[in-house]
Amino acid sequence: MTDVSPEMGPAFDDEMLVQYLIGGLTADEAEPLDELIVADADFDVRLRAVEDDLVDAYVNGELTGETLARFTSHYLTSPTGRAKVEIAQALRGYRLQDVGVPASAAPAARRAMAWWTLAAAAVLLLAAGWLAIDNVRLRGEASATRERLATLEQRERQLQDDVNRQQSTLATLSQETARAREALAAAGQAPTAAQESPASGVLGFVLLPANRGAGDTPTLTIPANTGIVTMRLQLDGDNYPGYTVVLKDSASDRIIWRSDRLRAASAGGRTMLPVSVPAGVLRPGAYTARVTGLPRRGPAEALDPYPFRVVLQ
Amino acid sequence: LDWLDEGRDSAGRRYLETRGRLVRYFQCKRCANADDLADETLNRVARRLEEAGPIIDTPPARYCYIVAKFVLLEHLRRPDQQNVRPPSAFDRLADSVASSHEAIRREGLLDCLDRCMRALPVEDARLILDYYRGEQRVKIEQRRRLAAERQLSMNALKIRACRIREKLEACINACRAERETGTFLPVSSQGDD
Repeated sequence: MTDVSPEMGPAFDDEMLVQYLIGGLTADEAEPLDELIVADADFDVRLRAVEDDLVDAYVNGELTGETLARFTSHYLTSPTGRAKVEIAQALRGYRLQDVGVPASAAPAARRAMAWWTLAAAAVLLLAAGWLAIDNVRLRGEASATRERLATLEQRERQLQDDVNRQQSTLATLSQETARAREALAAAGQAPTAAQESPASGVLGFVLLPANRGAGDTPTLTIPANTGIVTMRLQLDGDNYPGYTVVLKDSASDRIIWRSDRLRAASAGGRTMLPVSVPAGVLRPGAYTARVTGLPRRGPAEALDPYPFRVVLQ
Repeated sequence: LDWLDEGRDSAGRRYLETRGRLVRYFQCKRCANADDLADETLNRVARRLEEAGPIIDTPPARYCYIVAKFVLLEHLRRPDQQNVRPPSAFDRLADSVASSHEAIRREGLLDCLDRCMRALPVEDARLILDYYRGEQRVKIEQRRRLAAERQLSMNALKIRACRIREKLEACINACRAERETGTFLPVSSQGDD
């Protein structure tokens, strides 16, 4: 757009014509050009040539800066300008597609291009379909896996419940065993607890109050190597927050041992007061364990005595 | 017509050329109805000639331009004038709706381009394809080669290409305008130059 034609009007260079076309001239500057358009056929042709190149430059993306801005804001707001740009775009595409091809062959070439486009679209459609089917398959597999996992988790919960039930049953059996041993001890038989851990240095006995005894005073056989004698005194209920126990020698009525504050505990549906006594304080003879209940308020209350005999081995 | 021809009988060609340039003038002034304004200009000139006889102190083309300026000024003063204006929000909305039909429009444009290219002489079709091919320096070199091949000056080649393109654009615009009615039949350009 830079060559100036002496044959087509040398008075104005192409750049000025471009400015005229994109509204870049003042009214006074544009006036002589207006007249030339109507009065000078050659000038009109020249202006058309400049306009064609300007439109092509826009379509090719060659316009920049103020020229591009004015072209967009002025030239493209005219229907005539927009139509020329559309044709230029079509012509550019036509040139790119059909260079070297006779004009009459262009439609066939475009039809061929259209068929290739359709073919490509069909391939893409098939690929998309296959992906969709595969997606559904994978979703199905994922769903089945989730169901299997849920089944396994449910099975695990069932097994855990079974274990809990068996542990509960085992605990019940243990309690019943303990009750059976206590019953044996209450019956005045040889204390079974003494046989539990003779080498540990600790002996265990269960004692019943005197008013519930079978008549015979229970005998505690204490091996020579025993360090601690644990007596579990069966109470009628846990009626006090605390208890104390004193051991008295029945022959002299003298207190030979006194406990600290104790607490009762439940075992096998019964209330027991555990008392650990150093074996050294016990000599062969008759003793009485006297229990005192310590209420939260008010005076301590004496409970039933627990008589027993001691035999040393 | 005699006055326009200035003593040389052009068989109406001069009238058509003048009208074409008037249309062009009003288009450059961004008038939406350039054809109507060009006709209005020529009608006023004809009335003046009927009323006062031939105008001898001003060349016909310049006189037509002077009348056209008044027609333009009157047109611009009219409150209902339909000049091109900056696009409004409504225009942009309308454009966005219209863009949904862009593919159809483009296909129609390409068909019209095909038909109009086929209507051109083969030599003209090849020239216009070659003349506007390339960008910047490539395009300049291409044009020099074309001018040399045809033994034409660069400006003569430019005029020829410009006129072919003008003819092509007119054909395409007519095709697009009449496409919906199915009545468009591009005239073969053999001997039409």
